[in-house]
Amino acid sequence: MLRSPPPSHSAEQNSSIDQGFDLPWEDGRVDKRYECPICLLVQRNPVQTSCGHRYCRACIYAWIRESPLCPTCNSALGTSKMFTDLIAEREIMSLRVKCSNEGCTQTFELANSESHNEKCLFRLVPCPNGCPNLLRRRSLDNHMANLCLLRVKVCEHCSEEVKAEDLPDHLNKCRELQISCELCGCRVQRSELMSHRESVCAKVIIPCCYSRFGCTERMQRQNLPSHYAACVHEHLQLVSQHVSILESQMRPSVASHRPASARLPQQLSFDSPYVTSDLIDTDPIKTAAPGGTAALLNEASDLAAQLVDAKRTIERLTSTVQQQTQKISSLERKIREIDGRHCNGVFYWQVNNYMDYKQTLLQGSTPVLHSPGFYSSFYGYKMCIRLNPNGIEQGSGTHVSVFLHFMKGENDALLRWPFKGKIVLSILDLISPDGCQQHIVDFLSSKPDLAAFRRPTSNRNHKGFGYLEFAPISVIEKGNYVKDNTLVVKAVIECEDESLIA
Amino acid sequence: MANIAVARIKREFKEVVKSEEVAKCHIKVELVDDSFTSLRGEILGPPDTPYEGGTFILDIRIPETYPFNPPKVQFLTKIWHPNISSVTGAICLDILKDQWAAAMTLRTVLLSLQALLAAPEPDDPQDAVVARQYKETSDIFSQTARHWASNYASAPHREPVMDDKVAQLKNMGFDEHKARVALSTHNWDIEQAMENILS
Repeated sequence: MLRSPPPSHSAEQNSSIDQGFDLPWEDGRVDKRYECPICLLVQRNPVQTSCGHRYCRACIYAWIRESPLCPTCNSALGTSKMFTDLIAEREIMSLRVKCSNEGCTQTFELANSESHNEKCLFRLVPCPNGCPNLLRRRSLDNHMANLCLLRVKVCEHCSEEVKAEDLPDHLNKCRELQISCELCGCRVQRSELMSHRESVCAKVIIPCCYSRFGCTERMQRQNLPSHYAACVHEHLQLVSQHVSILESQMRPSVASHRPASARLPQQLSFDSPYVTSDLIDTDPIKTAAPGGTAALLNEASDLAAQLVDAKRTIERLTSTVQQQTQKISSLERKIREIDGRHCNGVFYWQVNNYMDYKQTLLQGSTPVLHSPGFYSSFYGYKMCIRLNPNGIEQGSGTHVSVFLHFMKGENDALLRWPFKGKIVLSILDLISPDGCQQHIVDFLSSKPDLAAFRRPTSNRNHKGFGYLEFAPISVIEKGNYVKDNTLVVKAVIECEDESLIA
Repeated sequence: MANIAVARIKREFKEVVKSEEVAKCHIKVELVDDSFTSLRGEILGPPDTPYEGGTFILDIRIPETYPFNPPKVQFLTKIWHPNISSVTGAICLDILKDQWAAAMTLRTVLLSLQALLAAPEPDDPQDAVVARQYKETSDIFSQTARHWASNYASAPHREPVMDDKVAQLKNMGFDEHKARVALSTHNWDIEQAMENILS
């Protein structure tokens, strides 16, 4: 009779038992005496029976559940009479194996196979960024630095962090990227292309500014001065024609409003006692027009000359205004910088129009706000707060994420890096009465190993440090944290070692 | 199938293919499919036996718990032997039942079956009719076994008298195999055999 089939759990145990070593041996084959008669592989944790036969520990213990007899010679087995064969184990662990990783030519003793595999440059490892590739360890650095589509790259134009695979897309949209004006070849920021075309571009085709007087010429902006110089006479003619037309349009009105037009040549007062008699005798065309046309033409050319003067003045003023605007914005930058330096490590960031931002950011591709830069002290570290109102990664859609990013500052060369100290980030309760406020506060301690605390190599360190899940979005928006559409994030920086190197 | 069973069958497969017995065409194993759960074995009838020169095909099924439980083996080639059912091909052999040991392999199983063909054990029979004939009229048993081997296993030595008797019944309209079974069971007495078929 067949024995009844073993219960299913026994099959599971068998499938998971630690059977012998199945490896590419250096000599091709291993001496038969090291072979386990049960799994036919090289014995793992060899156990010797009282009848002198050796098996893998797992194999013989699995067999004992089926039968009390030695599988090789049918002698009675007993776990108490079996022992771990250390001599055989030492011999087996000193057998030489070839590395089974494709491409690796090393050989080593079985005992060292794990330590070799830990450092074998040919071992396949998963990409730490989570891209679907398996890579040989030796090509991992190159993959992470140059190839992985999921590696984070910092846009060199706007410092935005972008996944490598998204960078081409980003560059097609980056507002701070310098692009060539297709017309004049000048390099301008994408965001300023429109204003460049409107007021600067030398090659854009625009109408002559006498077009309203009838000049039909259209030309590149750069050709305007020579056109103006060459066509002074024509332009004057156009203007004078225009004036004549105006004049002829005026005649009927002169006729119907005689007192008004009569005043022009004769400077007559409306109240003059002569007006009534003149009305009968004076033909306005005879009396006013012939002598008057010449005077008007003179007046028109005077006006045209004045116009040219006025234009020059305007141009001069415009360039002055431009210079002043630039100066003002550079001063504003300086003031912001100095403001940031005077905050002494306690920085309040008021995010105005918070809910509007949040909505815009939801639609945009870069859901992030950065605060102006500020310093931990006048000669301290420069940093900024980064806020994702809609959260990122695990906080995405549920939490507000808040981080601190170090920035390139005036004092970096004098400071100790990486930064050591404590950072307190909070979102302030703006509504509860004094003493009852429930600010959302979190404490961070610097970790010197993290890239976030190293000296920044770009304008803004692209690694930050903070909380993906700083506070639930619902709490921020429904609680006491947004008042008058403004949210306030506070950062307090306490440096462990304020003293400068110098 | 459990990893250990598959891994072991793969290794054994190599072992059998490389073995001396295969080189001499005494035994052979083939895969039926890629799963290593179903195999086809072949053994050559041993010399100086009624099975000499015949090729016997075996169906081998590997259980998930192999090698902790024996493979299930039966003859696909019809055979006249006290320990093998002439109807189903089922085998009565201790190592395929309670005497199985994990150190045994496909190769040792096939060699044991070959040994069983050379040395029947009528006291532990699978087929009682054959066993009785083996014990009581061993000459008739040998001739019958040879007749079956020549007809079903392409063994070279024929038994012309028996072939004739089967042909006679076949010509009378009886099924050839039924006729052979009936004749073999009744020690080749045609009348008894016919009676048996018709009853």
